[in-house]
Amino acid sequence: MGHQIDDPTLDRVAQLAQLSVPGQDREAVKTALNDVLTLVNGLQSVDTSGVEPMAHPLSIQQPLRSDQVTESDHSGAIPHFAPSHADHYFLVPRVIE
Amino acid sequence: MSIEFDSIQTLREALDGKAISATELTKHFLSRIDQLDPSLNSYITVEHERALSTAAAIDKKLMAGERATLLGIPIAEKDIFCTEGVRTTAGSKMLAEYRPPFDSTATANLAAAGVIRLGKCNLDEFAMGSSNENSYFGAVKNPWNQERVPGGSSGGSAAAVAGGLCVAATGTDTGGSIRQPSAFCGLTGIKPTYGRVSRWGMIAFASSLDQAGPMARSAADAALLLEAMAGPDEKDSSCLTVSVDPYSTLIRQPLEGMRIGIVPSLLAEGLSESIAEAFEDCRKGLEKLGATFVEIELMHHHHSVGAYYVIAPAEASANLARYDGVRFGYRCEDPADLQDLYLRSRNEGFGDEVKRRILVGTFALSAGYYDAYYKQAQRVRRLIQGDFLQAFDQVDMILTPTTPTTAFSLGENTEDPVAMYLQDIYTISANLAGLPAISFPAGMSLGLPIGLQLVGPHLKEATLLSCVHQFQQVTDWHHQHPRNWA
Repeated sequence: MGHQIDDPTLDRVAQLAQLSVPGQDREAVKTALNDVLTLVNGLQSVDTSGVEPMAHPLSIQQPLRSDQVTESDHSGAIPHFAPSHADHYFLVPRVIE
Repeated sequence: MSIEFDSIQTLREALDGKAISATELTKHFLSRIDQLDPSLNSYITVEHERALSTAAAIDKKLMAGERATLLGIPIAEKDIFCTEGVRTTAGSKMLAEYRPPFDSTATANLAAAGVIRLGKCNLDEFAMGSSNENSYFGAVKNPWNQERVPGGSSGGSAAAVAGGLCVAATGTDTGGSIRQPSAFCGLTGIKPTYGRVSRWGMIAFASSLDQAGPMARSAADAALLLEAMAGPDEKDSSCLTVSVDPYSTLIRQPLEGMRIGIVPSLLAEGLSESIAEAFEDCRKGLEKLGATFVEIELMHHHHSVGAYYVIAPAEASANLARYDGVRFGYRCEDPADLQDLYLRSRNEGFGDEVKRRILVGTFALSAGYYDAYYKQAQRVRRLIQGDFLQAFDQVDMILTPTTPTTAFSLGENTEDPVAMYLQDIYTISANLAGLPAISFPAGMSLGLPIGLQLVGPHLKEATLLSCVHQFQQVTDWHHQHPRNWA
């Protein structure tokens, strides 16, 4: 399987990634992405029938901790890291007219 | 030899014997940074005041008779570890002004052990790169030859240690980012077993691959630092709960009886002649120390780079979704609407390589391609790990080169991302399999250091460190320092 990234695919992926690819960069970006796909397309030749996908290098189980509050409330401090905030809120351009 | 290249043990004795104070030692490094770093660009932030006040407090402790192995040792941190109130950029415009409200666990552990942090080191943006040319804060130069790259992504850490601008530094390694710059700069750097060092407060690139570790002048120094950095952490659910081995004691274990694997196919094509020669010399040296060599095969190793460049970008695309211009980090000027805010903040805040990897990862995870790319890469990942586990039935560790060449020239690979990715051909598989791996200096070619790598079974950091330590008892590659460097 040798998928290639064409213009409609690039637009769809960029939209999903919340990135835009300006006109003058499109060809270079497509070439770079297709070079990467060529590099990874070799994976398709590996026989992986019956092999369980490995999401994580260690076969450990998610540890549970006791249901106790360990952190105090930081909700007053956190908005201060935002580029724009007021009171306890993050400010963004108007969404609902 | 000047004190900037002294071992931790030597500095420990000097500090304890009051031959030098922590303040004097810190001032020495800070003045070297001020004088010499403009030509290297290895630090993004130098913490003059904070370092000196920490040193003053430590001097009081030393005067009061307090003793600890790392007390008063000046180090640097890769600028991907969150430091409370101190700018933590990840080498990105996106976080150029970010001051975290907490310390990473690795940072806190080192501080508790008594180190003095001199500053935060340059890196490829979000640790994505193999040359440190992808930093918003500019490229870093290799102190061995300033027309060469120091490697990446922990390039600033490597250049700072090699240039005598700190005693040691922290790094992170997702596909080779501790080991490849260690090789390019003549250092000993270890990527521990996945989960050995907490990832809490380490800015995420690819969460199932990222692991922190030390970059130092010797296995003995690396052992001391890793001992302090590693350990269980309730704040990171993927952090291992088993206790940390006493690496600095275990490095004295003799090599006799150790079986070391060699993978002939990894030494075939693409490896530079000088590194192949260094490899052979090292093999003979380790044999003299009592190790025996066994030829093994890692059937799926040649698919490592392919699997990595699906899995790492996929995880990165998810991790970097948090940078939306709303909650923290960079926001574009005058957004027209919310969509414009997201798009322009991300477009302007991320560099080209980061955007490229987000796009690749988003593609690999998108409907219609998920099974063919992401799931297939995860299956191949299991096969790669299985090959290693099988090999470790026969051998205690595996010796490979760290890199196919010595440090390449600045600009040499910037136009060809795939050529840059192939730099990591020997290092990536250890991340995929979650195994510990160490790079150590084992030769020189045309004035540039050569690094070799040992990969071991899960949690066998002590075996790797002791092998390198024994090698360093009979070789002096780790004592060589850049000659045209002050």
